[in-house]
Amino acid sequence: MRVNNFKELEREQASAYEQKTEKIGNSIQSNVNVFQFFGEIVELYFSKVIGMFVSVSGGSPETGGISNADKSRKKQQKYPNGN
Amino acid sequence: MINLLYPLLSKDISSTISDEDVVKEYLATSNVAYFDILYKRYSGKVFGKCISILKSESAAEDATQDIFMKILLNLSKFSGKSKFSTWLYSITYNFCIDTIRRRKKDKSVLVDDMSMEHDTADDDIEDRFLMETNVKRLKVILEKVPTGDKTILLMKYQDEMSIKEIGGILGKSESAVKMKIKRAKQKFKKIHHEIYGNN
Repeated sequence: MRVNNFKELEREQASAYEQKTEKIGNSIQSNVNVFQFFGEIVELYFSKVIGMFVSVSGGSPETGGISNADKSRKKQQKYPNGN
Repeated sequence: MINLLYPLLSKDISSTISDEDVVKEYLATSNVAYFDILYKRYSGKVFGKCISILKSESAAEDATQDIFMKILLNLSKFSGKSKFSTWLYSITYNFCIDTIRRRKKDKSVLVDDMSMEHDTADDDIEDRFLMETNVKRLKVILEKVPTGDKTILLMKYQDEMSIKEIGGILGKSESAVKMKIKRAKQKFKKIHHEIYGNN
Protein backbone atom coordinates (compact mmCIF):
# COMPACT_ATOMS: atom_id res chain seq x y z
CA MET A 1 0.00 0.00 0.00
CA ARG A 2 1.38 3.39 -0.88
CA VAL A 3 2.21 5.82 1.87
CA ASN A 4 0.18 9.01 2.03
CA ASN A 5 1.05 11.16 5.00
CA PHE A 6 -1.56 13.74 4.00
CA LYS A 7 -4.13 11.15 5.11
CA GLU A 8 -2.20 10.53 8.31
CA LEU A 9 -2.18 14.28 8.99
CA GLU A 10 -5.95 14.37 8.44
CA ARG A 11 -6.46 11.54 10.94
CA GLU A 12 -4.23 13.26 13.49
CA GLN A 13 -6.09 16.54 13.13
CA ALA A 14 -9.49 14.86 13.36
CA SER A 15 -8.66 13.22 16.67
CA ALA A 16 -7.00 16.36 18.01
CA TYR A 17 -10.13 18.42 17.34
CA GLU A 18 -12.62 15.92 18.78
CA GLN A 19 -13.56 18.11 21.77
CA LYS A 20 -13.97 21.19 19.63
CA THR A 21 -16.26 19.42 17.21
CA GLU A 22 -18.38 18.12 20.08
CA LYS A 23 -18.96 21.71 21.17
CA ILE A 24 -19.86 22.72 17.61
CA GLY A 25 -22.18 19.70 17.44
CA ASN A 26 -24.09 20.92 20.47
CA SER A 27 -24.64 24.28 18.92
CA ILE A 28 -25.83 22.67 15.67
CA GLN A 29 -28.23 20.60 17.79
CA SER A 30 -29.71 23.72 19.36
CA ASN A 31 -30.11 25.27 15.91
CA VAL A 32 -31.89 22.13 14.72
CA ASN A 33 -34.19 22.30 17.76
CA VAL A 34 -35.09 25.91 16.99
CA PHE A 35 -35.83 24.99 13.36
CA GLN A 36 -37.97 22.08 14.49
CA PHE A 37 -39.85 24.27 16.94
CA PHE A 38 -40.67 26.88 14.30
CA GLY A 39 -41.50 24.13 11.82
CA GLU A 40 -44.04 22.71 14.22
CA ILE A 41 -45.52 26.15 14.91
CA VAL A 42 -45.94 26.76 11.20
CA GLU A 43 -47.43 23.31 10.69
CA LEU A 44 -49.91 23.82 13.53
CA TYR A 45 -51.03 27.38 12.97
CA PHE A 46 -50.28 28.29 9.38
CA SER A 47 -53.41 26.63 7.97
CA LYS A 48 -55.53 28.36 10.62
CA VAL A 49 -54.04 31.77 9.80
CA ILE A 50 -54.70 31.20 6.08
CA GLY A 51 -58.27 30.18 6.98
CA MET A 52 -58.68 33.37 8.98
CA PHE A 53 -57.54 35.50 6.03
CA VAL A 54 -59.96 33.69 3.74
CA SER A 55 -62.80 34.31 6.20
CA VAL A 56 -61.89 37.99 6.54
CA SER A 57 -61.89 38.40 2.78
CA GLY A 58 -65.41 37.01 2.58
CA GLY A 59 -64.82 33.36 1.76
CA SER A 60 -65.38 30.27 3.81
CA PRO A 61 -62.33 28.18 4.61
CA GLU A 62 -64.46 25.01 4.97
CA THR A 63 -65.75 25.28 1.41
CA GLY A 64 -62.44 25.99 -0.28
CA GLY A 65 -62.78 29.79 -0.14
CA ILE A 66 -66.32 29.95 -1.62
CA SER A 67 -68.87 31.45 0.74
CA ASN A 68 -72.19 29.65 1.38
CA ALA A 69 -74.09 32.54 -0.25
CA ASP A 70 -71.99 32.18 -3.39
CA LYS A 71 -72.58 28.45 -3.35
CA SER A 72 -76.37 28.71 -3.23
CA ARG A 73 -76.33 31.43 -5.91
CA LYS A 74 -74.35 29.16 -8.20
CA LYS A 75 -76.71 26.27 -7.48
CA GLN A 76 -79.69 28.43 -8.39
CA GLN A 77 -78.08 29.51 -11.65
CA LYS A 78 -77.47 25.91 -12.56
CA TYR A 79 -81.03 24.78 -11.72
CA PRO A 80 -83.12 27.98 -11.96
CA ASN A 81 -86.36 26.04 -11.64
CA GLY A 82 -85.18 23.50 -9.10
CA ASN A 83 -86.59 23.25 -5.55
CA MET B 1 -24.58 15.09 20.69
CA ILE B 2 -27.90 14.23 19.09
CA ASN B 3 -27.93 10.69 20.49
CA LEU B 4 -29.60 11.78 23.71
CA LEU B 5 -32.68 12.87 21.83
CA TYR B 6 -32.63 10.19 19.18
CA PRO B 7 -31.34 7.01 20.80
CA LEU B 8 -32.46 4.89 17.89
CA LEU B 9 -29.41 3.61 16.10
CA SER B 10 -27.18 0.88 17.42
CA LYS B 11 -23.39 1.21 17.22
CA ASP B 12 -23.26 -1.71 14.79
CA ILE B 13 -25.39 0.07 12.24
CA SER B 14 -23.58 3.37 12.55
CA SER B 15 -20.17 1.81 11.99
CA THR B 16 -21.03 -0.35 9.00
CA ILE B 17 -23.53 1.68 6.98
CA SER B 18 -22.07 3.62 4.02
CA ASP B 19 -22.31 7.40 3.83
CA GLU B 20 -24.60 7.22 0.84
CA ASP B 21 -26.96 4.84 2.65
CA VAL B 22 -26.95 7.09 5.69
CA VAL B 23 -28.06 9.97 3.47
CA LYS B 24 -30.82 7.82 1.94
CA GLU B 25 -32.04 6.76 5.37
CA TYR B 26 -31.99 10.34 6.61
CA LEU B 27 -34.02 11.51 3.65
CA ALA B 28 -36.50 8.67 4.07
CA THR B 29 -36.98 9.00 7.83
CA SER B 30 -35.85 12.55 8.73
CA ASN B 31 -34.27 10.95 11.77
CA VAL B 32 -31.51 13.31 12.90
CA ALA B 33 -29.57 10.38 14.36
CA TYR B 34 -28.51 9.57 10.79
CA PHE B 35 -27.15 13.06 10.39
CA ASP B 36 -25.29 12.57 13.64
CA ILE B 37 -23.48 9.60 12.08
CA LEU B 38 -22.25 11.81 9.25
CA TYR B 39 -21.32 14.54 11.69
CA LYS B 40 -19.24 12.17 13.79
CA ARG B 41 -17.50 10.78 10.74
CA TYR B 42 -16.59 14.09 9.17
CA SER B 43 -16.68 16.96 11.66
CA GLY B 44 -13.02 16.53 12.68
CA LYS B 45 -11.87 16.39 9.08
CA VAL B 46 -13.96 19.41 8.09
CA PHE B 47 -12.73 21.36 11.10
CA GLY B 48 -9.14 20.41 10.22
CA LYS B 49 -9.55 21.72 6.67
CA CYS B 50 -11.20 24.92 7.86
CA ILE B 51 -8.45 25.65 10.35
CA SER B 52 -5.77 24.91 7.73
CA ILE B 53 -7.29 27.32 5.25
CA LEU B 54 -8.73 30.02 7.52
CA LYS B 55 -5.85 29.92 10.01
CA SER B 56 -8.06 30.89 12.92
CA GLU B 57 -9.71 28.59 15.41
CA SER B 58 -12.79 30.73 15.97
CA ALA B 59 -13.31 31.23 12.22
CA ALA B 60 -12.94 27.47 11.75
CA GLU B 61 -15.56 26.83 14.46
CA ASP B 62 -18.05 29.19 12.80
CA ALA B 63 -17.28 27.73 9.38
CA THR B 64 -17.73 24.13 10.54
CA GLN B 65 -21.07 24.98 12.10
CA ASP B 66 -22.28 26.81 9.00
CA ILE B 67 -21.05 24.05 6.69
CA PHE B 68 -22.90 21.33 8.60
CA MET B 69 -26.07 23.41 8.78
CA LYS B 70 -25.77 23.86 5.01
CA ILE B 71 -25.27 20.11 4.59
CA LEU B 72 -28.30 19.37 6.78
CA LEU B 73 -30.52 21.73 4.81
CA ASN B 74 -29.24 20.54 1.42
CA LEU B 75 -28.94 16.79 1.89
CA SER B 76 -31.83 16.27 -0.53
CA LYS B 77 -29.69 17.89 -3.23
CA PHE B 78 -26.99 15.24 -2.88
CA SER B 79 -27.44 13.30 -6.08
CA GLY B 80 -25.10 10.42 -5.33
CA LYS B 81 -23.12 11.00 -8.54
CA SER B 82 -19.97 11.54 -6.51
CA LYS B 83 -18.94 10.16 -3.14
CA PHE B 84 -20.60 11.86 -0.19
CA SER B 85 -17.18 12.89 1.14
CA THR B 86 -16.33 14.61 -2.16
CA TRP B 87 -19.61 16.53 -2.05
CA LEU B 88 -19.05 17.51 1.58
CA TYR B 89 -15.47 18.62 0.96
CA SER B 90 -16.45 20.63 -2.11
CA ILE B 91 -18.94 22.54 0.07
CA THR B 92 -16.22 22.95 2.71
CA TYR B 93 -13.64 24.32 0.27
CA ASN B 94 -16.14 26.63 -1.43
CA PHE B 95 -17.23 27.96 1.94
CA CYS B 96 -13.64 28.60 3.07
CA ILE B 97 -12.67 30.19 -0.26
CA ASP B 98 -15.70 32.51 -0.06
CA THR B 99 -14.84 33.39 3.53
CA ILE B 100 -11.29 34.38 2.56
CA ARG B 101 -12.55 36.37 -0.41
CA ARG B 102 -14.97 38.24 1.79
CA ARG B 103 -12.28 38.82 4.38
CA LYS B 104 -9.80 40.20 1.88
CA LYS B 105 -12.42 41.72 -0.40
CA ASP B 106 -10.26 40.45 -3.20
CA LYS B 107 -11.93 38.31 -5.79
CA SER B 108 -8.67 37.04 -7.18
CA VAL B 109 -7.77 35.13 -4.04
CA LEU B 110 -7.24 31.43 -4.71
CA VAL B 111 -7.68 31.79 -8.42
CA ASP B 112 -4.56 33.88 -8.60
CA ASP B 113 -2.17 34.28 -11.48
CA MET B 114 -3.86 31.94 -13.90
CA SER B 115 -2.49 34.24 -16.57
CA MET B 116 0.88 32.60 -15.92
CA GLU B 117 -0.60 29.34 -17.10
CA HIS B 118 1.97 28.91 -19.84
CA ASP B 119 5.08 29.18 -17.78
CA THR B 120 7.53 26.45 -18.38
CA ALA B 121 7.76 24.58 -15.15
CA ASP B 122 9.69 21.63 -16.40
CA ASP B 123 10.49 20.19 -13.01
CA ASP B 124 8.01 17.34 -12.55
CA ILE B 125 7.89 16.57 -8.87
CA GLU B 126 6.75 13.09 -8.06
CA ASP B 127 3.63 12.66 -5.96
CA ARG B 128 5.59 10.30 -3.75
CA PHE B 129 7.85 13.13 -2.64
CA LEU B 130 4.88 14.97 -1.14
CA MET B 131 2.99 11.98 0.19
CA GLU B 132 6.04 10.47 1.91
CA THR B 133 7.08 13.67 3.64
CA ASN B 134 6.62 12.83 7.31
CA VAL B 135 3.63 14.26 9.16
CA LYS B 136 5.63 16.62 11.34
CA ARG B 137 7.33 18.19 8.34
CA LEU B 138 4.12 18.18 6.36
CA LYS B 139 2.48 20.32 9.04
CA VAL B 140 5.36 22.81 9.05
CA ILE B 141 5.55 23.08 5.26
CA LEU B 142 1.78 23.41 4.76
CA GLU B 143 1.78 26.28 7.26
CA LYS B 144 4.20 28.12 5.00
CA VAL B 145 2.66 27.30 1.62
CA PRO B 146 0.30 30.08 0.39
CA THR B 147 -3.37 29.36 1.11
CA GLY B 148 -4.38 28.81 -2.52
CA ASP B 149 -1.62 26.28 -3.06
CA LYS B 150 -2.29 24.56 0.24
CA THR B 151 -5.96 24.22 -0.65
CA ILE B 152 -5.23 22.59 -3.96
CA LEU B 153 -2.67 20.22 -2.40
CA LEU B 154 -5.22 19.16 0.24
CA MET B 155 -7.82 18.55 -2.46
CA LYS B 156 -5.46 16.39 -4.48
CA TYR B 157 -3.54 14.45 -1.84
CA GLN B 158 -5.74 14.48 1.25
CA ASP B 159 -9.14 14.16 -0.37
CA GLU B 160 -7.92 12.41 -3.51
CA MET B 161 -10.18 14.50 -5.71
CA SER B 162 -9.89 14.18 -9.46
CA ILE B 163 -8.64 17.07 -11.61
CA LYS B 164 -12.20 17.45 -12.89
CA GLU B 165 -13.63 17.71 -9.38
CA ILE B 166 -11.03 20.28 -8.35
CA GLY B 167 -11.76 22.24 -11.52
CA GLY B 168 -15.46 22.16 -10.64
CA ILE B 169 -14.82 23.65 -7.21
CA LEU B 170 -12.40 26.33 -8.37
CA GLY B 171 -14.28 27.07 -11.59
CA LYS B 172 -11.17 26.35 -13.69
CA SER B 173 -10.39 24.20 -16.70
CA GLU B 174 -8.60 20.90 -16.23
CA SER B 175 -5.38 22.22 -17.78
CA ALA B 176 -5.43 25.25 -15.48
CA VAL B 177 -5.88 22.97 -12.48
CA LYS B 178 -2.99 20.76 -13.60
CA MET B 179 -0.76 23.81 -13.91
CA LYS B 180 -1.84 25.07 -10.51
CA ILE B 181 -1.07 21.70 -8.92
CA LYS B 182 2.32 21.68 -10.59
CA ARG B 183 3.14 25.10 -9.21
CA ALA B 184 1.86 24.23 -5.74
CA LYS B 185 4.12 21.17 -5.75
CA GLN B 186 7.08 23.33 -6.74
CA LYS B 187 6.39 25.74 -3.89
CA PHE B 188 6.08 22.80 -1.51
CA LYS B 189 9.43 21.42 -2.65
CA LYS B 190 11.09 24.84 -2.44
CA ILE B 191 9.93 25.38 1.14
CA HIS B 192 10.94 21.83 2.04
CA HIS B 193 14.40 22.52 0.65
CA GLU B 194 14.68 25.85 2.48
CA ILE B 195 13.83 24.30 5.82
CA TYR B 196 15.27 20.81 5.62
CA GLY B 197 17.82 21.01 2.87
CA ASN B 198 18.17 17.84 0.85
CA ASN B 199 17.18 15.50 3.69
